[in-house]
Amino acid sequence: MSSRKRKATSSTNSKMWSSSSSSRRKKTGAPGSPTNAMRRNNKGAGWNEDAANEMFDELVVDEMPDAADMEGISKLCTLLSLDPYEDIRVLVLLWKLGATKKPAEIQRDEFVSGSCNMNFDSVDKLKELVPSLDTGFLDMDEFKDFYKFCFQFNRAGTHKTLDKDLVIALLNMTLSADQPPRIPASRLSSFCEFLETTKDESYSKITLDQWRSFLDFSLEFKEDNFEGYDEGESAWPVLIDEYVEFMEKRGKKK
Amino acid sequence: MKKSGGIVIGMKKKKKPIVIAPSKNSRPSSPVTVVNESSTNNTNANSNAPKSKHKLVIKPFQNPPSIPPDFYETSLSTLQRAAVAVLRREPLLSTTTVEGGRRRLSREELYTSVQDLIVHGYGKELYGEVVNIVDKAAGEVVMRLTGEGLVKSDDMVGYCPEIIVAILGTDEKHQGLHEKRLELLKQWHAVCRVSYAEEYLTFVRSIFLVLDRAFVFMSECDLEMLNSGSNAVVGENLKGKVMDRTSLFGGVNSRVWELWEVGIACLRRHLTFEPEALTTSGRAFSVLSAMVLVTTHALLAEYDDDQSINRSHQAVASIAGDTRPLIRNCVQSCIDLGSTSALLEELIVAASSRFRNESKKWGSALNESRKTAPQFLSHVEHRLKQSSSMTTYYLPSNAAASTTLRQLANRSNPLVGSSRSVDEHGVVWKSINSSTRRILPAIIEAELLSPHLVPTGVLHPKHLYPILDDCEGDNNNNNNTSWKTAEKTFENAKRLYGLCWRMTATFSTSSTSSTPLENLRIEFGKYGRLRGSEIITQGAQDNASGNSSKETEKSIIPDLLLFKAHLQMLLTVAFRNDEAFAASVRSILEDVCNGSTLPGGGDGGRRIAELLAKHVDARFKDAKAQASPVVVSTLSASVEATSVSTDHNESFQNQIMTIFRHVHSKDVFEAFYKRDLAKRLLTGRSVSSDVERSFLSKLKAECGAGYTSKMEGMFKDMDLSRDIMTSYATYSTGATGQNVATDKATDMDVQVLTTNYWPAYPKHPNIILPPELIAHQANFESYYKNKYQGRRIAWQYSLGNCIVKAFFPKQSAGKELIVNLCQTLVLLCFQYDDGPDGRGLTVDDIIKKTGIDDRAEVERVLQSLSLGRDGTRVLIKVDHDSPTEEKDMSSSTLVSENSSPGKSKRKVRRNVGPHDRFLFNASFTSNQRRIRITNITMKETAQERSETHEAVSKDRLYLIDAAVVRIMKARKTIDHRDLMGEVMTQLKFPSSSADIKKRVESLIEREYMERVEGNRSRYNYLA
Repeated sequence: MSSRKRKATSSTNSKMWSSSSSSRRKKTGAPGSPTNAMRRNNKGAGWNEDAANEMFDELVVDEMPDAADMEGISKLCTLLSLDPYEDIRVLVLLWKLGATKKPAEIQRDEFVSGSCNMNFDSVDKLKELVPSLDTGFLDMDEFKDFYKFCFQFNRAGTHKTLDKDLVIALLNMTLSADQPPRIPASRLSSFCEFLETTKDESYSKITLDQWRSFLDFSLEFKEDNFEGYDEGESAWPVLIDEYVEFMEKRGKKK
Repeated sequence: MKKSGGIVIGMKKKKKPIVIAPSKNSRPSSPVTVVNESSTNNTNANSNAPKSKHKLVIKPFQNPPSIPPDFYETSLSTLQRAAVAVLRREPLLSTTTVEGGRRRLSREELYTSVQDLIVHGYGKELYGEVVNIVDKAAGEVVMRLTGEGLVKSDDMVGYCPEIIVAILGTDEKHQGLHEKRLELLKQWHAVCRVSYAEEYLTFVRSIFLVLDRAFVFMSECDLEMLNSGSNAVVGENLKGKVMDRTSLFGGVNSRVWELWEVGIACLRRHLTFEPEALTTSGRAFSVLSAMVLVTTHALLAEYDDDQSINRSHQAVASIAGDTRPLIRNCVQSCIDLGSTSALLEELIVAASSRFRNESKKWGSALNESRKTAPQFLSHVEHRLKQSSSMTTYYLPSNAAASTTLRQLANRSNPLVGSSRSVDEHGVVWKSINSSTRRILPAIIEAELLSPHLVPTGVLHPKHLYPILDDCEGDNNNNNNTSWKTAEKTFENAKRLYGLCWRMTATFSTSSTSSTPLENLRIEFGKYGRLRGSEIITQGAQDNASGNSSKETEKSIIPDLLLFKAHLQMLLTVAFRNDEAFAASVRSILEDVCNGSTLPGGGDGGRRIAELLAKHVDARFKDAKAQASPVVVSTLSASVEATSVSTDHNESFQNQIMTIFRHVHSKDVFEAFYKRDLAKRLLTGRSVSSDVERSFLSKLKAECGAGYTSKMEGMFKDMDLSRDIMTSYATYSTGATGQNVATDKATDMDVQVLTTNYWPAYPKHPNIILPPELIAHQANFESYYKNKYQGRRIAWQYSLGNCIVKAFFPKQSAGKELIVNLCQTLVLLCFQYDDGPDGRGLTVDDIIKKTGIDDRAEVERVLQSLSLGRDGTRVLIKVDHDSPTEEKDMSSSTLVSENSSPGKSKRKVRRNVGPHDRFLFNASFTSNQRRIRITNITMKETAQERSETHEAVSKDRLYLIDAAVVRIMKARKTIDHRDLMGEVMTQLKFPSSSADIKKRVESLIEREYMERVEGNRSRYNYLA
């Protein structure tokens, strides 16, 4: 119940950030300005905006003071003693902070209001939060949002798609972190195998729709016999259709 | 009034009373009316009247007249004796003797005595006696039967079942069976019909005519009384069938029978005795049932006689030894004896088993290919013909027979001795439909024909396809082009359809299985698809093997046209223009044209559309080539030729349209046709613009104006160009022009093409034109821009054609080379010399000189100029590593090398390498004045082809996108399934749901639409 409520607030917040961030950023200098965030978040007690800004200052380089790129994020990870390339918790943290504006970057305003939401203004406080960043704590709706975020965050610049290889790595990272896994391990491995073996050139890039559909599909059809799956009628992307075909062919061979 | 001895009835006043009959005379025998009372009255009334002299006194008889006491007995015995005598064919003699023996009795005497007996009220007794007499006579007559298997005991007659059953067999093993049957029939006929019915019964009836009439009349007046009287006698004496028959007609004793009926009933009674057989098998057959059986089988035996069909049943009587009148009489006898139902039943059973066996025989014969399906079909047809004539001849088709048949059909128990299941049984009855005429045909249909009209029987491809192919003779010829043979009668197909069709009525109500006609239609569909895909794939297979694919591909469309004509013929000739078959012809063509018959679902007709376009192109070009030599000859001949070809063209176009109609990928056709049309128009090789336009109008009628608007635009451009050129000609020759620069030696013709209408052509932006052409170009440009403000001219150099005058040292006269612009430019490189220090030019040199950037194009041009067929090699190619290159530059050696291949010197390579050099062929000779050197286009065509296909595919993607967006815009939100359906209906080309789904995904990615959160199969439109 409580988690559902939290989700609701976080989602409205994230929307808010993305829409009004630029106007708000101008006022960042004035203390006490994140009253909006304060008002919205009762956990923000004892949170210091300046401390959060200082924390962010540590992550950025002078040329780009308002956004931390992967280098800055890595720096943060080192402070938290997390592996930036392997640890899923880094992504969860970024998701919770609301780093949605640009892929592979977190903006200052995102960091500040995110830290307010999560109630930390120092590395030590954040370190205490690290164990709570496990994906196992997310309910399904949150996880879906997080899953989508993973795709968006890993895009390169203005590209809308991810390379197949990256997708395979990312799938393995996001979907096999939990115990028990959210989708069967066999599904994940067979889907990756399908992606690796497919000859279709158009699947060298994976779209967001395909990315999201795979999770939905795997949740809807848990068994490998795909009972009730109708290729002719379904609205699943062709990628999924072909995956099912691939699996059926493999089943016949066996 | 005179007095006389006559009898006067009635009186007058003042007249004497009249006395009839003198009183003395009292003849006892004469009945007299006594009128004496009236005379006394008269006397009293006229008491004062003078008394007459004679007084007539009339008195009643003292003894009433009477017949002799033994009158009845004597008369009866006389009649009995007479009847017996007739039966035994003895003379009729009286009991009284006269001198010289007994007197012959005349039939009149007998008749009068019967009359007298009736007058004296002996009618009832006499009737009873007569019944007895007739009954005895029947018994006696039956005893006359003799022959094999006959069993007699007392007054009973019967047949050994073994003998009868043996006789019923078919004639295959025992040759004499039919003769035996006929013998039996003859005997029965002689006994029952001739001697009993025709002689005896006729006699009895005529003698007892009065009895027959008077008594029957009376009985109907006075039923009550008779019921207790004479019928009791009849009832006592006649048991069994006679009484049965009485009860058949409603209430018991409701009527007295005519003597004829009685006679037949008596005979029937005697014939239906089933005596305990003396044999071990128990009961014997009654004569009647034996008769029925034998008659039936004798009737059916006619099927064994293959000649019978040739004889007309109407004229049979005249032929001696013909057994059919006999059989017919026997059939009639059976019916007269009340065995109609037994006869029909036996007929049905026997015919069923007979044709079931025949069917089995044919089945195995067909399977083992001993017989062919056409043979079977004509056999069945023969049988049906036989049956109908036989039924007309033998079987009654009156209401009574129909009633009996209906009663038979209604009987719930299956036929005796029938092994058929109830189902089949029902089918037969249904199709017989209470008409005796239908019995045999229905059985033949059900037993002989219908088991074979199934996909595993005659409709099996093995049998059906040769019939549908309708190739003469050779059935083993499994060549897939066998249907192309010229002479087609479709006799067998027609027959097959007819037989299937007649079965439809039988099957119409039984929903369990599909009708033969439906089966035929389904199999016909399979046949068409098979043959069709054979045509389609013949090129594809060769494609895989490589070489001659072009040739076979060319034959696909003509084959398809032939095939269509073939199907159409089948439909009209054999299938009687059946609606359902017409529909299946259409669906066959559709499937074939769109390749749905091929494994993998085909390409939606892309290939056929392409080939069709090419076929039309070839035709429109070819016609030109054929027509041109005709024009040279006399004018009248050429006119005639063109008119003929116009008709021909018309039908050709119509044929093409019939195929085109079925092709789904009309856009592919459009793309290819447009490309080819452009080529034809630009090179001026079109057969005639009339033909082109008429075909275009057909396309327009079929697909709408949008489909042809671009092609129409092409024609418009051509017309417009002509106008422009005429006005340009006046412009450039007129004093107004800046035409000083134009060289009179060269001439230029320009065609102005609207960009959108024509396909895109390769551009050569950096091309370097010779100054003569540049002058012309500039002149025209200034003219055109002056005339049409605000238009831009983009020169399509790749479409240009030139006539180049060339002078060869070995030829006295100059030659005209017809080449395209690129070729011209390459040739102009050699205008003055063979390049620096006469060593020829390399490809790079030429590219530099001409400005043609496309290296492949330059190479093709050089190939065409130096390596084409003999008589077009105006350049000489020298391989860069050729040994002769350095030391001997003389072209003559090279020519000799060309003319004598296979020598020690290497042949010149066919391809063009970067270091090869080209020289002017100074020793060029040709006997033609004009030489057309076509550029090599082979590679280009393949490339063009794939480009065209690609363009079509790309267009299709846009069309799908457009359709999806259109729908989304209108609906804002829509279910996946609805969206698919609507898109499919909007699209005019075949598309799979996967194609559409991909486009939808792409649109989602491009954020034109999105999936609804929580409902995966729904989309929202994003404005």
